[in-house]
Amino acid sequence: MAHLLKLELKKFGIVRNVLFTFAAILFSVLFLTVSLVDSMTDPEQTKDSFDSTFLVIGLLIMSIFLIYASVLTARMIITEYNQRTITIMFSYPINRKQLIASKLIVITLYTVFSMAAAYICCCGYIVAADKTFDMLAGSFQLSFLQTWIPSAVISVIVCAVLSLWPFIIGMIRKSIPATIVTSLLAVFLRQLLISQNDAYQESLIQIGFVMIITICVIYFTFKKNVPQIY
Amino acid sequence: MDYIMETAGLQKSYKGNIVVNDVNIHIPKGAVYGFVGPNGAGKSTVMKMILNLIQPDSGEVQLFGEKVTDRSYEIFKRVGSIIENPYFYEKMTARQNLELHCEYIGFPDKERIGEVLQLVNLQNIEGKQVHYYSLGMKQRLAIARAILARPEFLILDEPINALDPEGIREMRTLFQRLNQEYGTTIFISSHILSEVDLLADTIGIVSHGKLLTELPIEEIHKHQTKYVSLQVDNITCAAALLESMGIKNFRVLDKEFIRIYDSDVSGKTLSKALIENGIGLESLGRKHDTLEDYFFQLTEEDK
Repeated sequence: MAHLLKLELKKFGIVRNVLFTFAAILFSVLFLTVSLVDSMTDPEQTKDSFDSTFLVIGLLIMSIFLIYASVLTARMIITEYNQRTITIMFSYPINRKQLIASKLIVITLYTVFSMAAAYICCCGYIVAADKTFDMLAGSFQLSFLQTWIPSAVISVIVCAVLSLWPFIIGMIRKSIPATIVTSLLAVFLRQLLISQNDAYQESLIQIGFVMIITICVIYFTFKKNVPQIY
Repeated sequence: MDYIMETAGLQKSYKGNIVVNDVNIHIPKGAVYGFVGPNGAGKSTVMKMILNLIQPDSGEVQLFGEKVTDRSYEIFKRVGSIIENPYFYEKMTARQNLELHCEYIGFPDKERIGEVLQLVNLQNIEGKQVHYYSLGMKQRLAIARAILARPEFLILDEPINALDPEGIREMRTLFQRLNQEYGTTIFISSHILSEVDLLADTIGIVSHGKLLTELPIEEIHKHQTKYVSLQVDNITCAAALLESMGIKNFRVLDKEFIRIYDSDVSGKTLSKALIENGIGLESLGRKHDTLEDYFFQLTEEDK
């Protein structure tokens, strides 16, 4: 499995995807800057709070990396089926399920690390921006981290689990549009779900439920759809 | 006999349509097995089932004496294959595709890449993205990939499609060399019957999903009918003349051609008799049935 992961990482193109992560973080920082400058300079608006800005960061990061995970799923898995290169992969002396699992692991790990990096960079940026330009209401307290860190960790875990759904749906008909649309739906549904909660994050029961359902469906996808080429 | 691959009662249907029907193939070790049949006869489906890319509805495949199941992937280390079209990672170069193949199959000898590229005449364009290759070049590259890890058993589904006559001859020589020098067993399907005739030592003819026959090529050659072919300008007179000469075993094919199956009839006697009776002789030749004739005879019977 370690050898397979190494090979999949090679095909994945680490440099290209790390560059995408940097670009996504840069985009998020620019988005936050525009939003903060606007609320700071517009006399009709009040300055954004740290908590509300943290929620915006969460939404941005989730949207970008969940959708990008579906693009990677389409590129690394669904396209292999569509362009039939999977017939070559499946004629190798390799466990076929492990082969697809290694691709999914690479995508999920990339999503997790990229989201973590994006959280650190964006939160660091708003703290630094506030310290330098007083862009946010109030000042940063270390106690904020007690809420931010668990919230970010939960968000990363939930997104890692949700990033599997584009694979599940995309594999039914080996469809790239279905893969991408599923990620958009996942972003929409998650946002809908967390907006119902006061803490703007899922409860442990909800996380457990989503995880169990995902594991069951992934199991059936591997059993039924992964070996099916034609 | 020691079979490298055999199938027993292989059956597959799609939406109630039987595409492979009770196919029993036996490929002896070291053989070149020509698998021929019309389009849609089920050749590719059988080959995919051997590689476990499609699961049969019933029956089984034995590869190197081991039953092929979902878990028998290690066995494919000893197999090289081309199935359907030559598929590649199009944005990678030929060399990168072959390097990746080496790594997945666990073949450490990277120097072999240069060797196989030379064998298929792609050594000067190996740095070009596969996307820019013609179909013929991709076909050559697919052959290079199939033979790269020195497999004991080669499964080649229409490997000479899209090759020019020179390419076909080169690949035929390559396959013969692999078979004779390295003892590689080859299972090859092709529409080009004359090529299969030149290459294979065992033939399997498949039609409508059924294996009609499986026999050594010598057997086919042994049963091939020899005949004299005549092209004349007056078929009625020519037929009457042949009867008057005591030749009974002949067949009028159309308005010009007659086939005489009495093998002891001399061409000289025939031409002299025809000219003396004022019948214009356009051509005269001694011929024998080819694999193509045998193939059509069998597939026509199956209809």
